[in-house]
Amino acid sequence: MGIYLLRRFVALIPVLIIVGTIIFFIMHLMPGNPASLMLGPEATDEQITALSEKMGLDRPVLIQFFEWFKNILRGDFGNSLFFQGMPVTRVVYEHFQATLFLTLTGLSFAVIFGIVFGVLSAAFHDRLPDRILMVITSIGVAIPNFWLGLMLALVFAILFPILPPAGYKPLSAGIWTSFRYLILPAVALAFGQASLIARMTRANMLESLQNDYIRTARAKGLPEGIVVFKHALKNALIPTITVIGLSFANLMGGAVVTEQIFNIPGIGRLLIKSVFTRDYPVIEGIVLYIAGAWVLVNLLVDVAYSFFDPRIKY
Amino acid sequence: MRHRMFVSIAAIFCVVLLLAGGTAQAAEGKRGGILKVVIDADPPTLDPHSSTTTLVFAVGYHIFEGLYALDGSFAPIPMLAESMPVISKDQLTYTITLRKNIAFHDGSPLTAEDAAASIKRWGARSSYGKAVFKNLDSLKIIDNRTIELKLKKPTGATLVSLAMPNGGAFIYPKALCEKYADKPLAEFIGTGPFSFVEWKPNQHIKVARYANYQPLATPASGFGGKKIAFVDELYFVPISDEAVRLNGVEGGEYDFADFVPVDEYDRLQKEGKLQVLPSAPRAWFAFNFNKRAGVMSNKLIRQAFLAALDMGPVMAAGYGNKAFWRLDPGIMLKEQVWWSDIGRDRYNQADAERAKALLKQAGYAGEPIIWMSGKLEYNLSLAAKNQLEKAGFNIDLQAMEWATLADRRKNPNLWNIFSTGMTTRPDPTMMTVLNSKYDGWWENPKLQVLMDSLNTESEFKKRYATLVEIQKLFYDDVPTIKVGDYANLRIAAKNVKGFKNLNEIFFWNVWKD
Repeated sequence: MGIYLLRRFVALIPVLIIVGTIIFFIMHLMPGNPASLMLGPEATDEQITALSEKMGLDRPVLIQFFEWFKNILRGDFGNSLFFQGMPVTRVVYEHFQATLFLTLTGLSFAVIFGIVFGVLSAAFHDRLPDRILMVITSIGVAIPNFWLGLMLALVFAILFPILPPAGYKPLSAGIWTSFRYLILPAVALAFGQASLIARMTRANMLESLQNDYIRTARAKGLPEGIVVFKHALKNALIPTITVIGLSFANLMGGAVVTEQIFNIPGIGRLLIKSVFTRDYPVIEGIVLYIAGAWVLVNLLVDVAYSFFDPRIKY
Repeated sequence: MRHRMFVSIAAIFCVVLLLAGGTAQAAEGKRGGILKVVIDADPPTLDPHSSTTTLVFAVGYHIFEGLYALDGSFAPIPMLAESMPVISKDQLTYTITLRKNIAFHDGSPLTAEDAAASIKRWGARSSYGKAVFKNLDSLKIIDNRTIELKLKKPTGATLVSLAMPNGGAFIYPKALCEKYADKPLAEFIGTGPFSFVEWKPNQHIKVARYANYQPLATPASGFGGKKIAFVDELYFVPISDEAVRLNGVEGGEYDFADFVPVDEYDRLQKEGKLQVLPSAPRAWFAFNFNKRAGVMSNKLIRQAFLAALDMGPVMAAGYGNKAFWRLDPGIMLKEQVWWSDIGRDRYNQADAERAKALLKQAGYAGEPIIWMSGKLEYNLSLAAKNQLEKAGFNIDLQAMEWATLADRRKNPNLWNIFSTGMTTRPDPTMMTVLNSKYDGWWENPKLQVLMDSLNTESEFKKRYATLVEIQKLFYDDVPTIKVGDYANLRIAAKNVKGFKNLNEIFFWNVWKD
């Protein structure tokens, strides 16, 4: 296992180099000048040229690339062109907390409801609960989460004002206060993911429930709850874990739309803002962070496989 | 960043239309509480010397003050200066005395050294400052409270430039001016009614009441006069999505929002749960031509373009509710003393036949016309495109985000037209559209002569006559099409009191009941 993990960590390096190189050139080849955006609409060409020079944006792209790459190797991701020149690592870190809490809350809702509904659907296969749940999950998969987010805000924050319509409070403001702000965005995020997990769990459970070891367990007289949750579910979870892992990695890169709709200062909103303002160092930093998060979460998922299925060894 | 952040409807100044009355006394309100104001994006900086973006001063104006500010009729009035400057008979020397006993937020007293250092920095960094400094012979400190500006030749725009809200000569401590001589401020110490507390990017900018603030005794007017910080703390929260801004105030999370969708106006009025506040007209939509290269460098084709347009449907398509736009030919807004309707016979002709005849005369052979538009102006441009195609134009309308458009328009070989918003200024010499260096490059020699006269003349009557000539030329040469004036929609919770709904927002003299 140790060697396997080491190998996977080493494999992360070329991924980051390739991703970083591609994003660097894409961003620098895009039209748009951060100096002009920073100076405002009345800026003269001379002012724009002077600030571009000060930011080092007038140099050939290749030279900028090698300098950036050299700094990355030293762990220096550069400074934001906006945000008062704050280091990129700090900018990303300050937005990471909101994304992490939103992801964990949303994914917890998705996993709990997804698995429970999936198991119930399979257990009541082709009966009324199954059909109702499948209709709901079909809607969940189909519904765009930006629309759901706006509807949730409309209903639970404006028509029946029981939750805040937007915003974010860090944990330091109190656990309940912080959680209140996350409920609506987490539900908006979780509905689609929960539906996907429920449908995946149901399909795998149905397959699992047909296996001989289930028949054996029932023949031994085990209670149905043990049969379903211990024997069938554990074996049905492997593909579901893949889906959960992908969702987790995806959300850690910032739930762009949900963060936007609920005004949550997370990685997704930071990315959008940075693209619009052409804040190159921040964009590059975020993309490297997202690539790293994907690889690491996938690694966690692979490790989790061996927990649920002891036959899988590394 | 409306984007809009990056739609720079920037600015400011002053067409100050007091919908609620030209001059208003800062009524004694209730002290205390927190006011949360939604703005459409994080500003790029809070240093008004370093950027003319509206958001910079929308926040910065609470922290910093200039020697002068613009009043309700957008004329300069004293702010940190004790009185209007003493101007020599030859109109070249301005002697400015500072108010007594003014202290910065760090406790240090305001002196002539701070004022001189700030003006010097402004002259080096701000577009308006650079323009003033081109004509500046010397800047001297006379004594601890007095400075003297000596010009090379008289001009009517010096005081207005000093008083501009966006890009104006705000006063910082000398030490900050020296420390941040060649970069935007990262420490924000001013003399304003609120002092800077923290800036959490993408979350909020927080300012708090400055306990030692010395308000003027003169009544509040426009951006000047008596200022009182009633609320303890003021948060500026950036939210880029307009529906979210609306939800946030409707749901009670925030107290005030600007740039709310105008389509919501009727519903919000009917429900009556919030204060619904259409702003004063603040800018006009424009189709700006590339006069330097390509097909639109032909004046006849530009005249045909103007002849073809029916502005009403174009504004309606682009901006919706009629309460937020109007048709008017003036390049300065109707509320300004500078307004003129000269050229009205050329504005809003809606004459496709005349356009066709002009195109024929110009020898236009259907060459594609590349038209760049951002999100805000896209519907407007699309409606105009349909009218123009009926008159025989071949339009290639390209939608792009602001940063791309702002970059591409610097290269005359890439485009023929771009859509934009033109913010009106307190003085016509500051109008972007009249600047020959502005992208599109209106380099008409006659304009240069008229602008020189406008710049050097100081008597209003003569300057106004010159501006009328310029507007006549504007409708003959057609460097840019003026489509129509527009305002934006603001909303506030019912308990927000004292807000003056001018063309730009500020929150001194505002309290919560």
